[in-house]
Amino acid sequence: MTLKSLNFTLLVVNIDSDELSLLSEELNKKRMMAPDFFSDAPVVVKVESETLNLDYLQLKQRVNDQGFILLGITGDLSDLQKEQIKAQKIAILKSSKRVVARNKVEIDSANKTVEVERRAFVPVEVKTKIHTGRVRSGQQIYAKECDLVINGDVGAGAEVIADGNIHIYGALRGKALAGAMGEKSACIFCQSLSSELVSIAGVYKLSDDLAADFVGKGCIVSLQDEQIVLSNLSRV
Amino acid sequence: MAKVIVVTSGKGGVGKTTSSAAIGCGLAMSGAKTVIIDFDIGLRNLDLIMGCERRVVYDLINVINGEANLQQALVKDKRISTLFILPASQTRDKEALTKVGVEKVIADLKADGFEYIICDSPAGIEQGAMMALYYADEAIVTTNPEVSSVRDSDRITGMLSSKSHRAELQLSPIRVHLLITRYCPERVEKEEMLSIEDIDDLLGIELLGVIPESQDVLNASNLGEPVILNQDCDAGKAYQDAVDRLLGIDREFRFVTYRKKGFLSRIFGG
Ligand SMILES: Nc1ncnc2c1ncn2[C@@H]1O[C@H](COP(=O)(O)OP(=O)(O)O)[C@@H](O)[C@H]1O
Ligand SMILES: [Mg+2]
Repeated sequence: MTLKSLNFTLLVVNIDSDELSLLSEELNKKRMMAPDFFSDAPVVVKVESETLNLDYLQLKQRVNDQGFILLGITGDLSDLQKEQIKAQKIAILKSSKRVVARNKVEIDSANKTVEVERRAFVPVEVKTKIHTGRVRSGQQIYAKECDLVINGDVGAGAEVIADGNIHIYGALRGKALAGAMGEKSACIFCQSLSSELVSIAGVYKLSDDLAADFVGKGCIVSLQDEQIVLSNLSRV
Repeated sequence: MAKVIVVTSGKGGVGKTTSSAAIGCGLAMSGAKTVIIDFDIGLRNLDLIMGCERRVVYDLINVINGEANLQQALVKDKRISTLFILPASQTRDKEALTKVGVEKVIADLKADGFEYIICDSPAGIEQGAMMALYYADEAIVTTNPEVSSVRDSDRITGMLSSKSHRAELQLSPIRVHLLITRYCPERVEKEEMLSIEDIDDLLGIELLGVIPESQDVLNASNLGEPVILNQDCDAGKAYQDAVDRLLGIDREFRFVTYRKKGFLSRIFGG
């Protein structure tokens, strides 16, 4: 037997209040967005403050009740919190923050050359899932840890989900969930918007709330200040 | 090569059985040996629409369970010598429909020289509907010009491309045709109904035929005479056009535009 370390993308739900019903509500909202997708999905709860005094057994129960599986708890935990969590036989997960080193750019104004200090080359696999053809009612396409391109319409009752961005070369009449694991900078692009639901990192907008001027038009859906924002797809 | 064609829709009451009967008749009249199988276990009515209900002895489930052989269960049409019906069971539960059972029936029908095997699907997306579409080579997705029917057709079309034998074995996909039934150009004009263009936009399926809403269809059902046998009515003609297209003959679409009855046509009864 060998011990290997693998990387996973996990659903993380933040909790910043002692009120556990808020957690249930949050999970319920998530599940209702795409019931098939989230049923029995593993979830990590991130405790946002060292001062929170939670009932961890109840927390676990509430996660289960919403149809998710609690993998463990993470956060900057106090010793007391850690002890209480361990007492309920719940795993404590340490998140290794991925540090993305930005390229440092130095401009030498004297001779106007640009020097770029490159970080050591890390082979990053940039994947995109491409689906050709219509996505029909009842079908679901999920792009795990990458962007999703749909070359066709997404019908009412269909779901397209990506951990990254979603590009639809066609009409969006069903649901589209970008940043499904929490990426807030994810966007949805489509050529004609009449979605049942659009969501970025768990924040969503239903068809009833779509501003009429955007319906049926080319659109970019993004998240700004925790709000779904629609803007025109520019036609150059 | 024998062809298995499923007539399906997702939604109930849109005209699957009416269309199975009409199209099955039309194909048989072209001289091809044709059988129509009723997959609507427990709610059989194909035999009524075909007018052969009094001659049903055995049914599809009897054949699958080995209680009768195909020859005993097939009901021969009295009007068209190349047409046969395989009725559904009125009493058994639909769990009796199995892939193995259906596969054997279809193989036996092919061995018996049948060229067209039409599967009249029940509504829904449960076992019965799945079995009706599983071995299909072609599908006639039947839709009424309204949103919920179109939505269900979209759903079932997705299943044709993912839950069928052809999909599972990654063979060439099922050829899907769209049949719009109960179309009423006048109501489309008034925007009370989806238009052919709207439906095409939502489904993107090749159009096989447009059958007008017509009292003649109801009359035909009551008589047990598939409406295609009445070539004096619009619905009968529209079904014949659809059959011709299925056989590869080009036909213009008729009965799809609304003409207000003008002065002259009122006088001459146009
Ligand atoms: N073109 C039509 N015009 C008027 N009535 C129709 C038409 N097509 C079907 N119907 C009626 O609709 C009802 C349902 O048809 P049926 O073929 O039994 O549907 P399904 O098999 O999809 O449940 C029947 O009463 C039938 O006579
Ligand atoms: Mg029927």
